[in-house]
Amino acid sequence: MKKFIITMIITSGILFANSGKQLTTQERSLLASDILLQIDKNLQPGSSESYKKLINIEPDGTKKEFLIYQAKSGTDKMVSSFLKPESEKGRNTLRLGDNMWLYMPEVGKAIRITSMQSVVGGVFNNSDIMRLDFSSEYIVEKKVEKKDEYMLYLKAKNDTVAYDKLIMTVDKKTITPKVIQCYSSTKMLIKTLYYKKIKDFGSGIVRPSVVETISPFYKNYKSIMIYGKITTKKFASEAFTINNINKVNDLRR
Amino acid sequence: MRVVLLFILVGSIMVADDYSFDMSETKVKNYEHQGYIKAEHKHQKTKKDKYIDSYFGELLFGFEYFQKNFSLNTKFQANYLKIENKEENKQRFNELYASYKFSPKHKLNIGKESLKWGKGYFFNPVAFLDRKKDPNNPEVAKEGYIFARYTYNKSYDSSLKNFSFDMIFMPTTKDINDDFYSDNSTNIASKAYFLYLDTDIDILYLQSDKQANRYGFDFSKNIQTNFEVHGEMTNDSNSSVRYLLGIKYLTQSDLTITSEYFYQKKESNNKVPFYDNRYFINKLSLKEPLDIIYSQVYLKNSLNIKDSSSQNSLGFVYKFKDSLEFDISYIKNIGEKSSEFESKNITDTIWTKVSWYF
Repeated sequence: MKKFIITMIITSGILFANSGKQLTTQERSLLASDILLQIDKNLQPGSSESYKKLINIEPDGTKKEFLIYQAKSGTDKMVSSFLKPESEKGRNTLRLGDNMWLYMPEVGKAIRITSMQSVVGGVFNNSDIMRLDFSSEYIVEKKVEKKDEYMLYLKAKNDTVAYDKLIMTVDKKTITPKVIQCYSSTKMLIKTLYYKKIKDFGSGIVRPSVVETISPFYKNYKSIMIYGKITTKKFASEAFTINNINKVNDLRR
Repeated sequence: MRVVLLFILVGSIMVADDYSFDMSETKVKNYEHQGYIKAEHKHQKTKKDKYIDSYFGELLFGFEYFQKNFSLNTKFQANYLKIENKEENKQRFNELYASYKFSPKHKLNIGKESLKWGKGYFFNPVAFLDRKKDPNNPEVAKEGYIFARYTYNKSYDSSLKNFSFDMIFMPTTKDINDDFYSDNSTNIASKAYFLYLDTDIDILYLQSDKQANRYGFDFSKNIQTNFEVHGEMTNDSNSSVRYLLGIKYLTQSDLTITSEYFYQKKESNNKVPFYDNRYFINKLSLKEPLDIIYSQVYLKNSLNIKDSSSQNSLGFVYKFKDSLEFDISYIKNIGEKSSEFESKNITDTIWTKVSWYF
């Protein structure tokens, strides 16, 4: 009887310990993916429009500015239109998941482009400008919790994503990124993005309004993205098709 | 202390200036306009070692007016050409059409419009209702034809992400669309587009009561983020097969390689460029060489496979801050006697282009 009781205690102890371990692991991974979903929600609502300014700063301080209108629907549909400078005006880009097209008025039709290209030059590439939700492109491999921040180690879901790995420092208070380091599949640091200046855009959207980036490939160059306006708005899904890529401006009306 | 405060104040003003956003720039108007003025100069050497200078000017002005579901779209082009003592002026509307959107899925366009069908960069065999593209200058704005076009467009959340269908009615007379067919004719064209399994696919058909009926298809797909493949094929009731296969590849060092192989069973009139059966065109464009931001160098080789003659260009493009673009290239024709590119009167060209966008 004594042996039986001891065996029961040990067995239930092991079972309890194992179930406890499983729960903790599950809880951890759930928390990490929840954090990523919350980051996406905080950065840009599911269906919205935004105006942002992109500034390339050269080593001698010379600046070139671009004004961009952007519309987003769901997790994988996005269109952009360059409003300024005049040389880029009317250049529109469409992203549907991994597919990306560029419309140039002088060419008059949509052509497929890659996420690693840059339609503006400078440190930001197409995937930085037309960024989809992090959770649609990455999974959380590891999460480290610190006093005021989380460190998320993200891995691309497939090889069509521009950066293979991201190391994201997340502000615990606002659940928005502070710093993102972008790595290639060969573990080479491609660029670092710094999220700054938390701003209330209304409709419950509170997020960094400035993203600065530097890259070891562009020594002494800096690119800045400034969000001027983010508004929730519904669009017909046909707005995100190559048939309407030359009509992105219609969405502003 | 005052100096420190002054530094903080100046510093904060500078930061504020860096991050400022003038919302008046985002104001929505019911019209849009854009365009460019381009000035070109060609310094050319002839076979007889003579030098010719030619000057070319182009104005393109695009204007769109919007009123609810209605829009009016225009593209006006004016050209000036001076070769030695000969001068020429031309003006025309490349596009002038009205568009009405019944719903996000249904649209009707009536007027003069440029369709630009096809996926090729240098050739478009399936561009049934477009004027022939010049592979030497494929991005130059082209004049459209006058027709009525109905478009149905629908998105899906499945392997088929988008389907659209275009139906075009284009008549010709001695005065309307006369460079498509110089007498009365009725032409009906249709295009079905599918975005299926991340591949663009078009199936196209042209029925004419006076010319050969044509049918064709094209496709474009990114097989990797930096590697795109595309192709076009067309045939007609006279078995005039034409096709092209092409790739676009971006290397890690920002070098874009665009290659296209073009075949046509029947040769075109040898007075037009690229009239022969088989061509292979390769263009290498390197973005921001020597870390010169907004610049690009390119090397282009257009090879006539049949007679092994080629046209070769080496060029440099720089985009200035103030919507100004500068493009200079050196072009050399190489080939054996009486081959396509050797038989041209010009052997060497220095081509300078300056474009100002507004």
